[in-house]
Amino acid sequence: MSLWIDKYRPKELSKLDYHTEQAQHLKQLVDGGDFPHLLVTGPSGAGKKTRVVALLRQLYGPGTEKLRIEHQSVLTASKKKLEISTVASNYHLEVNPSDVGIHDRVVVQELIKTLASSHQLDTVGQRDFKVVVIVEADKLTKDAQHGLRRTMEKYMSTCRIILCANSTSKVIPAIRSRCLVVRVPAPTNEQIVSILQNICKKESLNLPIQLAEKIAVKSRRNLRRAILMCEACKVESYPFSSTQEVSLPDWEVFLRTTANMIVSEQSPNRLFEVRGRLYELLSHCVPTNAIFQGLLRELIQNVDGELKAEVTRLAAYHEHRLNLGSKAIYHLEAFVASFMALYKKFLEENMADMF
Amino acid sequence: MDNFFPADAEDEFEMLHAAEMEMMKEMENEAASSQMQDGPCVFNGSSQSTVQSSASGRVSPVPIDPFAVLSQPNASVLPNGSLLENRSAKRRLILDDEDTSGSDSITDWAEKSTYNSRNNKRRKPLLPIVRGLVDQTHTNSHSSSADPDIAIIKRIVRHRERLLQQALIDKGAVGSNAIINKPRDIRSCTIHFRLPEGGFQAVTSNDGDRIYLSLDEDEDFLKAGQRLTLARCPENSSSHIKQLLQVPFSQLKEAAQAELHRQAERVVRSTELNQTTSELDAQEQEEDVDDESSLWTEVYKPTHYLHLLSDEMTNRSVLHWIKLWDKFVFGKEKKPRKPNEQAAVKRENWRENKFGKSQYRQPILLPNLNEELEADGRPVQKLLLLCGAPGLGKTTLAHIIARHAGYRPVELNASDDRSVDAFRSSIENATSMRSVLDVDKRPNCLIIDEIDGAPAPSIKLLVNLISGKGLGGNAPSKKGTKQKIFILQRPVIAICNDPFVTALRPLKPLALVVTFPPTLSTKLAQRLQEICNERGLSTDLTALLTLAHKTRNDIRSCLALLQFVKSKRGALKLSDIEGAAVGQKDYQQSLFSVWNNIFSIPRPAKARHVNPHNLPSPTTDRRVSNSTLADSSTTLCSTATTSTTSTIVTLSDRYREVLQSAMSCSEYEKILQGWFENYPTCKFKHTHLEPVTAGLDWACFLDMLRTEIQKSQSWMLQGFLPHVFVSLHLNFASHQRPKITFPVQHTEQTAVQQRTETLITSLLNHMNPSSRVFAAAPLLLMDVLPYLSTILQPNFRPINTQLYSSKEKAELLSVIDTMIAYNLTYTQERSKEGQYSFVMEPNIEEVVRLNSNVNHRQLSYIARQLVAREVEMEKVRRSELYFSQQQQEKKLFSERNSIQTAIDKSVDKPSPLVKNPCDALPGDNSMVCSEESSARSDKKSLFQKNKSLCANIPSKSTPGDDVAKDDASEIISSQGSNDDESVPNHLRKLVAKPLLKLPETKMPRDFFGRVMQSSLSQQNKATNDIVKSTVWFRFKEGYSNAVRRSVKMKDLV
Repeated sequence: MSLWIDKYRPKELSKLDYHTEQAQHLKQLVDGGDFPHLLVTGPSGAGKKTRVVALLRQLYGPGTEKLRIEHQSVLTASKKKLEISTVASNYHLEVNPSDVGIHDRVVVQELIKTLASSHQLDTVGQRDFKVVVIVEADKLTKDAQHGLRRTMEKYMSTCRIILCANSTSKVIPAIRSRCLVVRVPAPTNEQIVSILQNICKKESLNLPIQLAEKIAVKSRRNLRRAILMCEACKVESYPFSSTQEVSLPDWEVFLRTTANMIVSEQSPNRLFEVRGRLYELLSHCVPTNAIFQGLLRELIQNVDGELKAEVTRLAAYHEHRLNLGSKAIYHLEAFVASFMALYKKFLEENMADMF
Repeated sequence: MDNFFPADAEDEFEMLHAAEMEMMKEMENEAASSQMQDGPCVFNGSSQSTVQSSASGRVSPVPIDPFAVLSQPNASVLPNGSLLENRSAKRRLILDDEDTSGSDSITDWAEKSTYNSRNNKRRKPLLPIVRGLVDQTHTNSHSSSADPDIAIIKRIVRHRERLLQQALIDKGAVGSNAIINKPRDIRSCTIHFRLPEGGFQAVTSNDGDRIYLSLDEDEDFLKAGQRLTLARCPENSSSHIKQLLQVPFSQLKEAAQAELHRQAERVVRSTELNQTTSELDAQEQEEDVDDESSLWTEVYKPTHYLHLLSDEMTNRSVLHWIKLWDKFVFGKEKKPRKPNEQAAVKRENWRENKFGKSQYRQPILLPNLNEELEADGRPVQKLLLLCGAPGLGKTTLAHIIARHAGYRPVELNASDDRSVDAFRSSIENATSMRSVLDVDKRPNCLIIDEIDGAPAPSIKLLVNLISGKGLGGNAPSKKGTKQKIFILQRPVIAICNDPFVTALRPLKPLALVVTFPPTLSTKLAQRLQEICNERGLSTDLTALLTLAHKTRNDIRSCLALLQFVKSKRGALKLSDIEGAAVGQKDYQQSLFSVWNNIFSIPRPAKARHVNPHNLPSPTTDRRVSNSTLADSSTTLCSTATTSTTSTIVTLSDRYREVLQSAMSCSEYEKILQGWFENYPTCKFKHTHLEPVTAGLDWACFLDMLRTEIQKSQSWMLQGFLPHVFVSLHLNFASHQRPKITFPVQHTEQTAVQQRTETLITSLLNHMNPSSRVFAAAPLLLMDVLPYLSTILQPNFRPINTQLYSSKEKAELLSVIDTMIAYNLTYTQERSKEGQYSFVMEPNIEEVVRLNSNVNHRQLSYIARQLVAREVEMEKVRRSELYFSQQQQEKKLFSERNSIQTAIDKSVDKPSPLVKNPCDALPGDNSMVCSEESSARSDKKSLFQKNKSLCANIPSKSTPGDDVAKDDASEIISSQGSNDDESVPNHLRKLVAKPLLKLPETKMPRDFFGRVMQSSLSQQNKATNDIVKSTVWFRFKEGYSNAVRRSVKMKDLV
């Protein structure tokens, strides 16, 4: 428990650092004794999970902190046995159905049904429902989502579902309408800075404000990453200096150099080199959407203003096609190649204009 | 027989019926075998003379016993010329003497035939009596054997009577004597002194001599009788000898045979007549039917080595290989190589002389043919693997060569059962046995056809067999007896189409792999021409060449097409072939050939035939070049059309070819990968990477389509897939020869990816659940782990931890805490160079670090060692803490037990009914239950509990100790019971436990509950005993060193 992100994570709704108004709303919601299904959305590192956990604590008390990892096995229709590990307390169950890939429907159906179909024995001093937390709900397949929607209604009396997702766009409208959508926006840079300084104060460290701001910017409003960066900075060199280098994760550095390679030369050979790097990224399990985002971010910074829209369109187009297909490398390379073609054409035209 | 009987009238008779006599002799020659029954009769009249003449015989001459007399000529006197002469002369004398009584005796004979006893008594050597006697002995012997014989005998007797009468007239008997006797031989003997072969009847004479009568000769007897009766019929008109048979028997027989033959012929002729009438109508069809009954492929199958169309070198290599077996199979020494070579050289020289090409020298054998023999005389390569496209004649070659080398080919193909057991038995049968019933006693040669379709276990079996591991699976032999390993004793030829089948992989290094080159088109066309000529199918060589080319030199399909054309039309034209659907069969192409097709523009083939109609007109070319296709392809097309001497490869041709080859391979995913990994190295024209973007677009399309097909199972979309490759071909094809490598990148990448995934899942599964909640796999990977690896490696001074400042200590502690929370540790590993290093386990470095040149900070070896040690120490410490805590609890438990009687029971024990950890009850009991059940279900929760109990002491628990749990929960509950009941469980706080009151000293009580006062003396005695003894012990629960003894230094020194 000694990583700062774990150590200084607020455990109660009342102790949250930002979005306090929202926290108040949630508290009221829970104090009412009942609450609907929730769909918590927001970017990574904004504090979705922290809020969910705090909410559960508000609901059931500290008993929710007694967690255990359970390995459950589910049988698919084709008699294939699936192993899935869940984190559970006495009051709730947390599951990530996308761990089992395309069989997530079975997991959703089986786990929630078994949990929800049993009533509480005594409902006097206890909530009469349990909570199922489904993380990465936006990665659920359509089948699983459709399987979920009837379950949500049918077992309303015994079970509440909290869905965590980065974006609501991949959650089908039927589910969205059954849930109370709680959006958790990313903290602002100022909020991050204040949080970092708070933490450092608790650690009895002196964090220069410049460095804190630098970290906030580099973290791209991802609080988890900001705190980790801060801790890493501390490990690398303390006392802090305001000009200290803030290191990025390796894969991001790698992506940046890849993007630079693409911009610097457009040829089949370069494409081949880029492919090697893309393979490297994929083999390190970097998600493809992260690759697309990273590349696009870097490329857009380097290209002329009039190309930006087109490049973004290309990236979106190819990412969409990637989701339709299965082999990521073709789509990634297709994006790179089409960018190269576009950029080369643009460069040559500009050259012609110059002379 | 009768001839010499009447002696008096002999001469005149002879003179009168000379001609008839001749015939008679002939007849008797024929019926010689049947006449021996009458043998005794022959000598009837000369019993005495025979006795005299047979003085040299074995029979005692003294007693003129009729049996003895009878037996003499049969048993001892063989038809000997001189003897007979002698005998007949004597007999004539006798007959002459007794001539007068002859007629009487005949009548007498008939009368007396029944008086056996009387006849036997008469020992007078009177002729008639003797004659009668003889006959009677016959009847006697026969009647004793079987009643129906009597009838026959009577008939014979009657017949003889007649013959006798005739003989009296006929005197020419003497000359025929020799003739009658001649056919007699040992077989015809009826009466034996020794045991005869076959059935017999034993007869004992008065003297006690025992003779044997063969039974099986009755049949002949009967036959003779029948014939004689038959012969009597024509004789009715006259009593002449002629009447017996007018025509000699042989002639009759011949005539009968001729008649039979004639009849058969007549029948045949009549049927033939019917046939010919129908045949006249449709003679042509009749011929065709004959043809169709056998396929041309069968009819024109080569039967000799020299007839083979396939490549000479291949043939010779195969033959050479099979000859290597000669030493083992036939025991022949191989001829030394020298003369062979010389011969080859001579042949070469001859060729040189003839063609004047000195530089032209073909290698005679395949280079991979290993000529070495093993110690037992078998060749090193025990198996021949023939691979090649279908229809080239692989099977034919194998059969012919096996036969040519003196083997009997035994084929095993896909139609046979090729399961492991069946395969084993058939291999055993074929290689270790030989056919017994067949005419040819040659050794077997096993030909395994279509081996590429055989199941992998069967092939493994074959591999084992070849490598000498035996066939296995035999009945387990008895202990002690060494099982004889089955070794391959006969050549095995395996035939396959595709040598790259996975199942064949283990077989290939052991075998001589002969790739069957396609037959030369010219050679094939020539043979086809011959066949066409023979069959009267009008065609020309050009058409046949095209046919051969189109079918890819598939002899079988060529012949099938020719036969088809013959049956339909009768003439084969070039246009027919181009329109025919031949050569479009399911033709498997390798991946490499498909990739080659994609990346290269087919070279225009040399014009074999110039057909002006087939040449594309310039207008079409223009149309092509105007079409909206990629620049490269159009330019190449136009260049191709400039050469007029060659056939032009049109765009549509290329389209068709690539499409077909892709379809024939049908591993689209693999083809696409091959293209994907090879296109950057290929030369293609581009200005703005257009081919690449287009190609990748198509690749994405294919990927999407495949995903869709698999998701929705709509296989109708499959048809679109091969067209992708046409587009790729048009974009990337060039005239340069592409260097194609097999795609590996993707599989490598997937392997690495899988490894990373397993690392992360292992990390996740053993993480502390409280940190686990906040770390989903992608977050962990992208955010946490990269920094974690930095955070876990602060600068540690490589000194003893005792010397660390408090800050450093805190730092170390936090690192260790984190490592334990994320289930990380350092383990010592030995690198390849033999150096030891500490590696993080699970190795997150591997996951986090990408292949960049930045040097990452790493802890020194010593620091790592330190951390590793500290992590272990901390783990131990925590578990120790846990145990000590547990013990404390135990102590509390025991104390409380003593209080238990005093304290009011306000707390219930946890109900055993509540099993479900999720079903929490309100109030105290719910707390208890949850505590207990959570502890039971997971050790981690105990950690939480402990934390709440003893201010923040983390502990590593061992799986459930129920007692400890129970009492802990009880403590809580007892304390909780003081709280306000109305407060809901989740709002309750855990409060520090008040100190327990010291337990009252428990007084011993007696049965009735009164306090017992122990006697002082007892107590004193007890203390005294302890004090007195030098050794005293105290039992400490939970410790092994229960017995303590004080040992002084001086005792030791």
